[in-house]
Amino acid sequence: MDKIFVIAYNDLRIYLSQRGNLISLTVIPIVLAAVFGLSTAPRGGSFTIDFIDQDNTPASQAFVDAVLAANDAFVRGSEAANIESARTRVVEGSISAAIVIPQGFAGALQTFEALPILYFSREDSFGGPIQHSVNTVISQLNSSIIAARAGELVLNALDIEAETGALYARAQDLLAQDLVAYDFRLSNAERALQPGEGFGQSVPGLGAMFVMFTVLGGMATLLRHRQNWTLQRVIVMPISRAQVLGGKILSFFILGMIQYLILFGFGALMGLEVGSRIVLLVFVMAAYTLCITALTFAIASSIGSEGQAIYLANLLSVSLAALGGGWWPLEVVPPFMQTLGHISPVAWVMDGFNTLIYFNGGLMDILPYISVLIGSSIVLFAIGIRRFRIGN
Amino acid sequence: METMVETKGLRKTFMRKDSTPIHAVKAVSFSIYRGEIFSLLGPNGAGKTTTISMISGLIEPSEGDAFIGGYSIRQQARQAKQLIGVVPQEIALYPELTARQNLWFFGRMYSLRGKELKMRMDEVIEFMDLEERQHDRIDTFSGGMKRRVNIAAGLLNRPQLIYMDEPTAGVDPQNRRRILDTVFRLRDEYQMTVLYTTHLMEEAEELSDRIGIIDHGEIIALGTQAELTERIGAEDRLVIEVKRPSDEQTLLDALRAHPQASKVEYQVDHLKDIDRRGGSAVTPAEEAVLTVYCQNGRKLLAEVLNIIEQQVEISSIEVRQPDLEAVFLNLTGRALRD
Repeated sequence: MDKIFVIAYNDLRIYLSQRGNLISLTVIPIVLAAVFGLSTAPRGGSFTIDFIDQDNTPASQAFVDAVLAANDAFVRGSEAANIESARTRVVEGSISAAIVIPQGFAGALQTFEALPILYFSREDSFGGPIQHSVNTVISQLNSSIIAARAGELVLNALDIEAETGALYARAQDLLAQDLVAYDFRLSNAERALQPGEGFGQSVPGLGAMFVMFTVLGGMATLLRHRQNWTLQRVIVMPISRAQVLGGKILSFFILGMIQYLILFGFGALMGLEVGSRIVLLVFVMAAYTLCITALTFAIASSIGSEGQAIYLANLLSVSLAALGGGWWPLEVVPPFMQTLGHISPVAWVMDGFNTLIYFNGGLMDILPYISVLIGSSIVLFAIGIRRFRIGN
Repeated sequence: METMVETKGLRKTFMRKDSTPIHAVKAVSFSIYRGEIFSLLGPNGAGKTTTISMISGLIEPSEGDAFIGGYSIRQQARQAKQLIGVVPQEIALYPELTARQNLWFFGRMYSLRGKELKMRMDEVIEFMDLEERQHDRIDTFSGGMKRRVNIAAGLLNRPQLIYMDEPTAGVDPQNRRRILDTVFRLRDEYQMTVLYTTHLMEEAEELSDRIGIIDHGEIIALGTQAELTERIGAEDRLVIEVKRPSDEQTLLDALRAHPQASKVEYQVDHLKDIDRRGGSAVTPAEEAVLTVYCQNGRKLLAEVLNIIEQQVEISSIEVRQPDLEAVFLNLTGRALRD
């Protein structure tokens, strides 16, 4: 066992003694993760909404409060002077949306008259968290109106004089008691505002790619050690083939884990929240790194030259990362590509990371992904170790 | 004498991609005695490295076995390897590490640690005269320096048997001399058994207590140099370079008629001229080489020169006494350097 650690230590010392390797292990991944993370992060941490309350009644104020209460990320902007300036502020991007409550809003509610509420935003035609929240508040208002009108009709049929305002107020009370209310807080909108949000994709995704660059690059190291005969020199010493391979495997595994820890450490500095699930996160990293280490040995047994090894390592790292959702979430690609993407180990590790980071998953939730990665490792190790030649 | 290495029917067959076999080593059996320098001499591709690789446990023999200090390399590999130090033909060192870091790593592979490891490292560094450069990276060393570190790494475990596979390959004369002296010191001062492979006849002649000549995967002769030359009854050779005679046959007949000349060879090199348009023409060289085989060549030299000078101008004369080259030539019909 001691010799396995010595071989791993020696290989790591050789790797880390080269400045080029240190740069590719730290600077390049961090710079890329920063660029990707900042590019995909939402602007700011909140949505600013301007309200122009032309009615200025308790009812209009209640409407404003209801919209703002729909999401913790909604912030009331400074009062715009008029509709035109509010629209300009939206177009310029100074605020996320502007809502104009016209004069007569409270009266219209009392008399069940239709009254347009003006809404400006930069959200697309499918709407966003603000529009969804406004629609929901209006739905509640409409529910109160319909309930009040229904009550009025029933009372009229019974020849009982009903006061419309009282009926409406009663309907709103009932809604406030959650008789028909539903939760319209948009969980995705709330999550999108987490600090370090852009790094939730870039850190694990690019991490998966750079672990491949680093570990698959080990193919070239193995070939170099075979070509300069250091591998053969070790095997003629009192040490078994299994110990030599064990040392090599351990060194690649440690390098892969170092690569992940560097990127996740950077992510944490940038505000990426991994919460209390760090141990599970390390499990996922370890399963993936083991799988890539096994892949390295499986391929190295068929590679003839250092040049081939470097070329193949780069090709596989880039293509498997893109295919498996390392560059962008697999959710944005067509379903058949999502299925195809799962031939890449990156897809499985990203599933594991997403389960932990976004869905607060536990061990049982990530177990399928870890199982696939470890199962693949066993098969690839069996191929690689059996075929790997110590000599030329 | 006590046997240090014994090979029994050692054979290695590789398979080509089209499944045809290559018999790299064919049932090699020999013994090496404790404390001797034994050279395995043969041209490139003769099977020296394959043989040594099997004895050192790097590759598995297809058949047969080798015993190191009585331990089978197949059945008791770990014990056998503990007795061996290996100096490969390649510079088997990590160029990114210093000489000392390399020695530390290989020492740890021999299970050395702590003070003992440090002591062994200091010992081999001093022995190979590496003190001044021990903390420098290997990739900053000259070829000769690298060779010395390569040897030092093979001595860390104070082996009873050291394999040295062409350790002077690509080394300048000064470092070559130093390496050859090291081999003598290993035998004389440390009582090590040395198994030395080379394709250089001069090295084998200078170093070896006994020599095994290997060709096409077979040991074709084995013994001391004196035994080998005696065995083929080797004669002196008078090698005389002359201007090409107009009547070759008359000259050869006159030489062959001499009662003490057992054999006369005549060789003319041919030159290939290539003209500007890529065409070529082969023409015989203006010089020829006569080789006269005889006993006691120095005595016969004057008579032979007298015969030749009557017919043709002499350019150079050399008297060659029997050597391993002659032995190899006699046994294989080829020169060792072919």
